[in-house]
Amino acid sequence: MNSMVAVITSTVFAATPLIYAALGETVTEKAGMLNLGVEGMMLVGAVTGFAVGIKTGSLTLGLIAAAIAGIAMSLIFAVLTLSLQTNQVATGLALTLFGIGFSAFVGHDYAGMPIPSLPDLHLPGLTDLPVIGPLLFNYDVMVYLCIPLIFAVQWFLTRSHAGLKMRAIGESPSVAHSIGYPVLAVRYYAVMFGGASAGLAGAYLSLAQTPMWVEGMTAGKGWIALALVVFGTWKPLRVVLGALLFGGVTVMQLHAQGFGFSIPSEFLSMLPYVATIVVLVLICRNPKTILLNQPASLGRNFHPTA
Amino acid sequence: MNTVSPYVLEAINISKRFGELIALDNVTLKLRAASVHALLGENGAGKSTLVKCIMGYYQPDVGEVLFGDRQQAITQPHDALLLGIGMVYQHFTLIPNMSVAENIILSRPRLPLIIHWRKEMAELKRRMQGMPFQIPLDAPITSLSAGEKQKVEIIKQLLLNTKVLILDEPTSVLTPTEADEVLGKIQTMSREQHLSVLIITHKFREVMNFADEVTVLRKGRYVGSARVDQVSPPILAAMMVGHEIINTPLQRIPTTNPRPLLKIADLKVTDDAGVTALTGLSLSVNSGEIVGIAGVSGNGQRELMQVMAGQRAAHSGSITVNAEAYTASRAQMRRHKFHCLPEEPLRNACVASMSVADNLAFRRFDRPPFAVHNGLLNRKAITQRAKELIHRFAIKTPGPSTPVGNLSGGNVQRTVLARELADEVDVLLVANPCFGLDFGAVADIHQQIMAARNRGTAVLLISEDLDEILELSDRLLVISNGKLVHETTPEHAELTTIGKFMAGH
Repeated sequence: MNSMVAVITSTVFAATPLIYAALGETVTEKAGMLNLGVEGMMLVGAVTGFAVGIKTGSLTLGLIAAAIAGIAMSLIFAVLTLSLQTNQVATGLALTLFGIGFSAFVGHDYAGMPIPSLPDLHLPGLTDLPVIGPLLFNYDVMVYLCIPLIFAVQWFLTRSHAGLKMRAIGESPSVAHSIGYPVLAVRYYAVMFGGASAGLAGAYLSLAQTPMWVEGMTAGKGWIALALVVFGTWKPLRVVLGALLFGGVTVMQLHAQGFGFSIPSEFLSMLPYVATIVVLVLICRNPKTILLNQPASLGRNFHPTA
Repeated sequence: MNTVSPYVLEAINISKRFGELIALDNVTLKLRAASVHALLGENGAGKSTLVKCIMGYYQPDVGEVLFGDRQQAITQPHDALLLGIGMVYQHFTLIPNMSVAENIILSRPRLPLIIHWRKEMAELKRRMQGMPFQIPLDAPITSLSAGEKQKVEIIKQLLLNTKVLILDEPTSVLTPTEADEVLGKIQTMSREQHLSVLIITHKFREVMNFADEVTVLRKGRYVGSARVDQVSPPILAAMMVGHEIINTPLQRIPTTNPRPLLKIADLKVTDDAGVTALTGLSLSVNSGEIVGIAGVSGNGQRELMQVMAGQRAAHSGSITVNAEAYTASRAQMRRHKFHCLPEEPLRNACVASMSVADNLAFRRFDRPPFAVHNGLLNRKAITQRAKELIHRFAIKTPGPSTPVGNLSGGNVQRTVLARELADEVDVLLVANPCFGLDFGAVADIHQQIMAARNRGTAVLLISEDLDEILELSDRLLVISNGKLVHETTPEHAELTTIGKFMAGH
């Protein structure tokens, strides 16, 4: 029983950064912007959050700084692709490469420094309950913030005027423009939201999951988040479900060793990535499900004057 | 119509230039309340530019737009929307992956922060009952036919309480029956509900049947306005073109000894998305015969053309030319004298950045005399041949070395025509040859196609323009949903019957 609880809690723990990054990218892509720089934005968020956390001693300030750093990174992408009309794929890849190098440079002096991890919630009485306590009432604040975020994104996309407008822009920017919607402005906001989420996801790694800064510590989680958006067919709730599944695979890798399976550890640490590939292949077997939900103008630039 | 009804929208002395090009030169348009006004002109006459100035897409360099007696600063489409001026564009402004209701709601100038879907849907359902057309609100746009989409566009505007409705070539995607239905309902609404309508068109039939007044533009200039009951199609045509049109009637010489040249049997083809586009299509075309295929665009015509031209593989079925199997290879095309005039020739039959001479040589550039035996091109022969063809087909070009993309639409089509029809042709495949061309070019191209027929060519003509098919064909077939559903001859053709078959019921 206890090991079950441990598996579930560590799954949530592992899934949280993926949820943040993937939800942000979902919104970005719903507006028709394909930002492949998630990995880079996460790394910059991670190092910024860590550095500010150490300098100020406040993890909250660290998280805020990480979100701002993510936005700053995403603005590089937005200015290049929206204002200067560069290719989105190339720009996103460049942003990731830049983020990897830049975070390593900034984080050089912080590598290996200790930092207190984000404190877990402790409600006397509730947290001490057997099973339910650790399962529901013993996470850090970022896990709990995740829940309103998920529903806010879902609600925004389906119920709000702004969300409808944004989806229209992602489907057909030229039509949205002719109706009179500000395509570029909305796309800027969407990209910035993705940046803030990716920054937070990165900071979660360096302030809660590992609590320390290690060069390249995202280890491909940004790419997994990108895959999750496709996996979830651009629907927030499915994206979250996907993140939990992948979190589960990651955790299995740790527990499998604990349970005494004699599988080489290299193979186990490969599992989440193999799972990503397998799932994407499975999904793409039915192109219609992808085509129906994929924003029709994903990755395509729009010139309002042309 | 009440003759004294006041003007609701006036565009006065509008001029607009784009760099060197003068798109509008001192044009005036006055639209009366509760009437239908037609804006008539050829392609490139400045109709769309004028309307875009009214809608706020462009700012006129000179001139002003008055709305209900007052000068209005319409600096962006949103301003026009707020004034109650709505426009239905030639190309749909609907988001394909969203539902009818979502599209309607999106078009509102002001929307609440949160959309209360249940309340909105109830309200939309209620208001739909007062609309001239009924469309299921929850249907995704992708599932609608072109005619239904056009209706959604109009409903969208009417639901915004539009007072002035501008329609840009509204019938170009509709069957004749649908066109009459839509325009008829609009005409009724203009009278009963005090709607003022401006229709951009180049079809006289629509002007004569559905408009109260007409304004004619030619090459960016204002030619004149009139009440429709005081003009006739010949007068309008003369106003549009600038001179009397000398219409040489087409000469159709009776064919002797027709023999089947082109046979298609049970052809099945899928489109890009893997959906069946042609479901077992069979037909045959004799020498000296024009067979016209009429239909609303998107019913398999494009795929048929692509298979015949070798751009797409057939799923099953057979094509025979001269009783030999035909798979659209270059060698077969040459052997059977098989030639094509695809639609949008600049895209499908030319390389825009290459010269007229090169484009004219595409069919035979790799054989003598255009190529010498070691594989080099003989530029002299290519240029010489181009000069001949330019002269023979009256292609208006500065010279053989001008990129074909610089020519006007009519002359691009003449270039392709020259390449395909210069030599002996046994089978000719033609798709929408006159789309977007002016009167002179259309007449010219029709003459050339008829002349080829009279020389004994088997012509398969695929066109969305029913008038063109009725004029040219010996036999007429109707395509709908990837199969031929009706056959008749132009003499026995009935518009309503054809329209019904085109619409698929």
